[in-house]
Amino acid sequence: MKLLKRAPGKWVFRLSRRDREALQTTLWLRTVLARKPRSLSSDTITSNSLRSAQDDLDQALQEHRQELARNVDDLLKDPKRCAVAENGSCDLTLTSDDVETLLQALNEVRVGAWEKLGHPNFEAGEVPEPDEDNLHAYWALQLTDAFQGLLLMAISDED
Amino acid sequence: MGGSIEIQRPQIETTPKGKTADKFEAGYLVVCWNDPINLMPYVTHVFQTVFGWEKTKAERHMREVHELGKSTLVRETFEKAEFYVHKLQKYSLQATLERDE
Repeated sequence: MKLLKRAPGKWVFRLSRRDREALQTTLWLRTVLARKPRSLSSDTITSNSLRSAQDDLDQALQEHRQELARNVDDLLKDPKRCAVAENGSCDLTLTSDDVETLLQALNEVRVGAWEKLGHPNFEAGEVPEPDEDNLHAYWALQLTDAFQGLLLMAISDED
Repeated sequence: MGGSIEIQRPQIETTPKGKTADKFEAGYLVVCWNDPINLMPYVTHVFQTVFGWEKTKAERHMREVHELGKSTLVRETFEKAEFYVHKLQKYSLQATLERDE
């Protein structure tokens, strides 16, 4: 995946057929790597208002994931934004909102893969043994690293 | 014309300081905890996007998260703190709201 063109608030990336398939598969992994629920507060939830706020967060995150899935799907199926050539490569035209959508979707995969591996601290040398059950999680970590890195580099040049 | 109008002062009820009043006080902290899987530039980007911070401020908080395990990002009312926690969690960052005791 290479940055082809950049204008304020707009980026065009060239993806080879393999890049495109890797991106699609990585994003599809969101359906396999289920995320664990997250707490609104580290305090023990005892009050009714905090319990209701936790319910609101759970619902908001669930709705957000559904919306992300729709937006990613729309993006990759829209021939104006994802123009696929005969050889299978594609020019992906992204607005700032699209970049945020992709970053969020990719990070959901990334955190889901990390949870699947049991929250290892790689920097501290914790590396779970790869096996048939977790290989896709390792694969997802590598690919999200690459795609997120490229997107962040492209938008950071605008700062 | 010429008649006088009696203006009645509205009665103001005072709410005893309690849970409802607390929710409107800026007594809640938004804390981001370290998940050692998030890319550092990603965390910086999220802080810039959610809070509108300059890159240097966002990076300082990102380093706190990375090196100290957590960073207190803002002190807000319950509702605003809740809003920010939602925003941060939508980016899959581990953020919570805490009472500032």
